[in-house]
Amino acid sequence: MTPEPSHSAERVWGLNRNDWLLIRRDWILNRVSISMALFVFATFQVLFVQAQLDLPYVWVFLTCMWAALITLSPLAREMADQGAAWSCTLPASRIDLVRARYFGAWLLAAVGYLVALSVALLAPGSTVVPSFAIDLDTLLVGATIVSVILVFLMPSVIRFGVKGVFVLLVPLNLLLPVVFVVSKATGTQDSLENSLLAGLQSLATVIAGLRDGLSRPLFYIAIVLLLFALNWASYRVAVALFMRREL
Amino acid sequence: MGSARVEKEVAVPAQGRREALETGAESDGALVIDGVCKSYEGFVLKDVGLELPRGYIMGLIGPNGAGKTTLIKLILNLVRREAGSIRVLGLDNVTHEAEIKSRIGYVPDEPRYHPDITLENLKSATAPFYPSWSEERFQALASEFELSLGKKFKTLSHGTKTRFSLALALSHGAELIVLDEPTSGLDPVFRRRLLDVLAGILQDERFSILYSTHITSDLERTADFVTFLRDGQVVFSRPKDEVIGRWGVVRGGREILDAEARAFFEGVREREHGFEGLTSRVEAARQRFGDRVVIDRASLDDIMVLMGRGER
Repeated sequence: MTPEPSHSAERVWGLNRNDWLLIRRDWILNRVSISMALFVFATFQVLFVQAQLDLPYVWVFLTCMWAALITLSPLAREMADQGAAWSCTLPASRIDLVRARYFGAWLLAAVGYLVALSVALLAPGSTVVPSFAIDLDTLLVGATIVSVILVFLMPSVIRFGVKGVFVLLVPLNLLLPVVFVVSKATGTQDSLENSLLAGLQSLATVIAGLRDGLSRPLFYIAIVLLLFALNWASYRVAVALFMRREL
Repeated sequence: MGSARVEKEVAVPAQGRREALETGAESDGALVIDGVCKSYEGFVLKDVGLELPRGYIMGLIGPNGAGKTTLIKLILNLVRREAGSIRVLGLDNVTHEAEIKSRIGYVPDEPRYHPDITLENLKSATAPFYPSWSEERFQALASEFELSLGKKFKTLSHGTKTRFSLALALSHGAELIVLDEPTSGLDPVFRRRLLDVLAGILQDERFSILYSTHITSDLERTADFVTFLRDGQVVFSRPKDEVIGRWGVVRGGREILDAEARAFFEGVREREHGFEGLTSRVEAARQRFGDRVVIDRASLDDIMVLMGRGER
């Protein structure tokens, strides 16, 4: 199934008419389940706030992870209901379908974050500081968490449905212990651990170097571009996988 | 068990061909499939070709596993073809996928929509994709098909799901309507109504219908063309009247069914006291077997059953 230019050429925010219609369709089909997920999400926020933990980045991590996972629910539901064939009979190309999934996911993640933030701020006894929650650093950390989840999971879920999560996570979970067992057996465990630590430290050094070397606005732009590039690469992989999918 | 002779024939009725030539529409048929191949483990759709001119109904028949649903999925680009070409309304079905799908109305053999959603919401989610959507038409069809739009999809019977799918497919001015076993879950009364609706659509000669079915009596009532698929190959694709006029069923005692006689038939069914053989050489059969046999005109059902068996 070769890519084709969409026949609806007018674009708003980079999306054509079909993309918006697909996002609208996902909302109509999933609004009840999304609302329920957001309700559970809000309840979690209230409970977290009541715990009076002074761990702002834990709050950011859990909130953004929740928001990212909620975005997979329309897709997972479509796969579970075997609705992908219906989607592919609509007058939209497969590229439209994948693009709408990515934009819809980011839109939903943003809405999820806003809901979480509102509840966390309004809940009695809240320790979430508004200036922290909307600080650019915090938002970039949040966007990175959402990106990491979406970049890895979306292509797999688009290709394999819910089992795509397992297709990705099970081999990863098996790979790491196997690598450690092999390294232990071959006496290279220390060197493997050192390499991993060195890799993580290098990444931290690069980010710190960028932060120190660039002005604040340039640093933020660099991070945003990096996240955009990761999402773009993930989107292209998802398109290639979905093109091969037979329904 | 030998295989019956496979003759690949693609034709349009003389009148239709003449009109098509006159209007220059021949190369711009509703559906032109040429040399299409697709293989799965244990199944091959091989070198499939057919042509449906605009304004006609084509019935796609064949035994289970013949490749009817696969062919329909190939037309909709739900599965990837490995060779050949498919042109829908003059456009390649892969490079112009979105445009073509806005002009196709499709009813799958088993409609699958989100089960917890009401028909009204399913319609709302679908309608804006189609520039030619007619809400008036949809409401009229929903009323005619006795659909309760407030009901959730999962609460519907198979027949009602098909009716809903039909209402969606027929509400956006589709020029090619593709139906995969649409009548299989319907009661006879609604089947007849559906056929009347389809016949009504064809009052406008821009519309065409491709219609796969096991219920050959429906085709005898409505189809202009019949395409017979067996084991992933087109056995014939011809005007219905030509198909029915051409084939005969020879019935006689088993004592005359020697090897030479078997070779005469495209398909044979043996019974305890006799046999039925399908032949396209009716006059030759009359001369050969004389009054030892009875020869009747073959129905589509006879053709499908006897050819589908592929026995000699």
